[in-house]
Amino acid sequence: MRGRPLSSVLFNIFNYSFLLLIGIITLYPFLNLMAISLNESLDTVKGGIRILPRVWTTSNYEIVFSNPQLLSAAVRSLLRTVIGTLLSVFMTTMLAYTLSRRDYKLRKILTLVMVMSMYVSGGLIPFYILIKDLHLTDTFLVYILPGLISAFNVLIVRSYFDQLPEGLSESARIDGASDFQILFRVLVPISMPVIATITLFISVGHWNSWFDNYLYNTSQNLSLLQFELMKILMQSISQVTGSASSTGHIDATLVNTTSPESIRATLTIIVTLPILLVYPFLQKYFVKGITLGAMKE
Amino acid sequence: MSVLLIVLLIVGCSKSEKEDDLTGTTETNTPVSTTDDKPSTPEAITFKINTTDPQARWDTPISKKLTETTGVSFEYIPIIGGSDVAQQKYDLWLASGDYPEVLSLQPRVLGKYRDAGALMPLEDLIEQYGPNIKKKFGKFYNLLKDADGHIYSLYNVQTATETPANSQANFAIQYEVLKEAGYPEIKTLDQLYDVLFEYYKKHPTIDGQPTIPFSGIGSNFVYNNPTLSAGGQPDHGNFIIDSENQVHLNLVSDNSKKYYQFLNKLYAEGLLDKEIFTLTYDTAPSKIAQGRILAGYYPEWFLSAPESSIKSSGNLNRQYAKLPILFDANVEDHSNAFTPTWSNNNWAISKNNKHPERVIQFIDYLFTDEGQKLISWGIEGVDYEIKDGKRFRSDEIIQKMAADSDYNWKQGLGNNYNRFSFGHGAKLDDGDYATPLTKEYMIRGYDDVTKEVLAAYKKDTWADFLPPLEYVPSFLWQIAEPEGAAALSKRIQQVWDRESPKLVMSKNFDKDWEKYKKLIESSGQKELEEMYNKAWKVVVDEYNKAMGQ
Repeated sequence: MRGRPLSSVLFNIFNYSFLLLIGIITLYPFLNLMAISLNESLDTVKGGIRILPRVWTTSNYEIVFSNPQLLSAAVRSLLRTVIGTLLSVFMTTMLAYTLSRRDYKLRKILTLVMVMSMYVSGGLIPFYILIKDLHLTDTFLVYILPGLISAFNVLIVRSYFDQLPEGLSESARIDGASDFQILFRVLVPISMPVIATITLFISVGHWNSWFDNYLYNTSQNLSLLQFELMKILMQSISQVTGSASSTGHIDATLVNTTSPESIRATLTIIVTLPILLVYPFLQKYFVKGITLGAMKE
Repeated sequence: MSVLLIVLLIVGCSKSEKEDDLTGTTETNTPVSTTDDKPSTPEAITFKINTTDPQARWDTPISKKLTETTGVSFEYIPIIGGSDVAQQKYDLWLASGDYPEVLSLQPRVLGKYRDAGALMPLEDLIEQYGPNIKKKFGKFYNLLKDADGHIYSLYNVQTATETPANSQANFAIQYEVLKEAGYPEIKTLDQLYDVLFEYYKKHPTIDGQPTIPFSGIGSNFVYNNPTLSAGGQPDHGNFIIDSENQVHLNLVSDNSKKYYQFLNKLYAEGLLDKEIFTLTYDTAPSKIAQGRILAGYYPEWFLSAPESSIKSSGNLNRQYAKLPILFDANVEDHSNAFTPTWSNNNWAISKNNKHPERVIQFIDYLFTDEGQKLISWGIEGVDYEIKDGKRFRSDEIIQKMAADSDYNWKQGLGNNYNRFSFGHGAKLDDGDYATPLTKEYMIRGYDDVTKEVLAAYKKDTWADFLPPLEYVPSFLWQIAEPEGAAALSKRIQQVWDRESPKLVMSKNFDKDWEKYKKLIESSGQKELEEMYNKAWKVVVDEYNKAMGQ
């Protein structure tokens, strides 16, 4: 600390406490959910849980994990996320490269068609009928194929390619590189920030989605983690309101019910943790890969 | 749902992962039927049916028994999400013709399916295969028919002859308040006011926090339903139906005026919860669970969760007595109303079904005493015992059920065939109750403090406080909304929501009441009443016709 002017010390103190505060504010909802998920559910109903659980318990997790379908559903979700993300990033990059090539004749019209799909959608029912006629219902493929290309992601990648100096691919071509080599050996390595970005978008999207599962795949053998968790949540809600069993038999006061609030918090923690693990791996690419010094013009 | 997708089909991408996920879809546990009492051995058959209970499954002891007898199994298609998400799925099914063979839907949705020609008329099938259905519906059988004379869906018939033991009034008053006042008779709002006032004066705080003498939840349960209860009216939503079968808007009725006055008085004396206008279904339970609300208007389905939280924290004296409270001693109480059928989750057979007769036979079995016992009581020796010739759930069985919140589903008691139960308080042909929820069962579930309070009033259950059961053709909120009524209702609702707090806090009540009445009137009160009058007349006429009067 010696030799540092007081103002700098003060600035650091202020700076760090300010950032710490922002950090806590950002983390608070998550910590709060964590606390609720670890709190006894009848106690949670009383409210007032902040960052620490009041009556410690793991029973909420026990209830959720007691579902026999959960493990296999988690495996399918993982498969879907990995396969879907890899394929999707690959396809998106390929298409974006094609569209970024100025000598590609259909560049304009294809881009237009894609942008249109962002604003005008066919609607749920026609889409469902399409999926059905393609015999994609009750298949694993329905998780991957329909969302393989997202116009939004293609545009992001394309505009990233667009702003790369053209000299890079030209020089590679002079050295005898094919289009594939230009894309994967030259452009992709320096485009890691945007690839990492869409990877994150796509993988989070895959991990979180349950609606396609609900619409297209009724079979238990194809259900995903999110869908199973959604079911557990619905179940806890219906237990409380008794709507599911209006002619039900068991006196509500006898059953040790779990409050939907606890279950919801528990589920949020369970589904968030795995996808959180993706971030550290992608983070380094967000700063790297700058084209600085690649060209001298 | 802003999923912005473009569908690209890439040939050759469909490989590996397909196989292992597609194996084994429908398992039909073929019973090598052992039932000799049936004339022919029922062939195993599986139907698909939708359910909003995601935990429903068919591999349970009770469903297996049903399959043994009828040969029919069901494969459940779970429908989840709020009603709008569920609705999307039903619309998709209807549009694509992809609906399951048996549908379990609300009448509103079924109407769409019927209009699209997706449902089979059932009356001939019932004639041929459903003798028990006909028998149990008896004089109510014609109520099943739609306006075109066909029957498109089946649901239960409520044969209760006494108030179900789990019924309770909606006014809730803390045990502690009653105890301190020496368990006085509380039948009118004035008596309620007096005990609250006295208790609040002596105990301005409970456990260090301010006492809240009276609270409520949501606009309907703060200003509408309590007026119906206190006026002894059955719950027709925001309406009252008079003895001449004329529909009146309850929001401006004299009863409403009296009740606003009651709230106004509470407010003036500082006895009303300051947050009463802003409490939501999310925030109110935790407030109740703190145990410092002395009284309120809470329906059973809402109160049970916070009350069990109070119970679990050991504050047994902070639980609530559920008493019917009227405006004054002269009010006749007709609030304990019942409908002969409960058409809410109806079963219909879709055009995709190749063996509708098997479904009818299955449902017909549910209408037998055997079937009723199975779906409501469970399996003898496991879910209930016979003691002195009566069906009975022993303490061990109750313990077993309470220990496992999933028990109902594992055993098969919760599955949606259970909707065909004759209801609590109904009796089977053997003279014993159709469901385990009997008076004796309720009493066994009460804790000592509750028993003490009930004993002080010389009652056994909260249901005993209620007036005798009365049957009404239907509740007004059950019938289809007349065309154009939605917009009017909404406009009135807005005025009502805006003006109600003003009335409660008003310093010049009579003037403000007149102003409010005029506002509602100018928002289309007469038109709305007229619309519902017509719709109600149709319902009553059909009811009378069906009942042959």
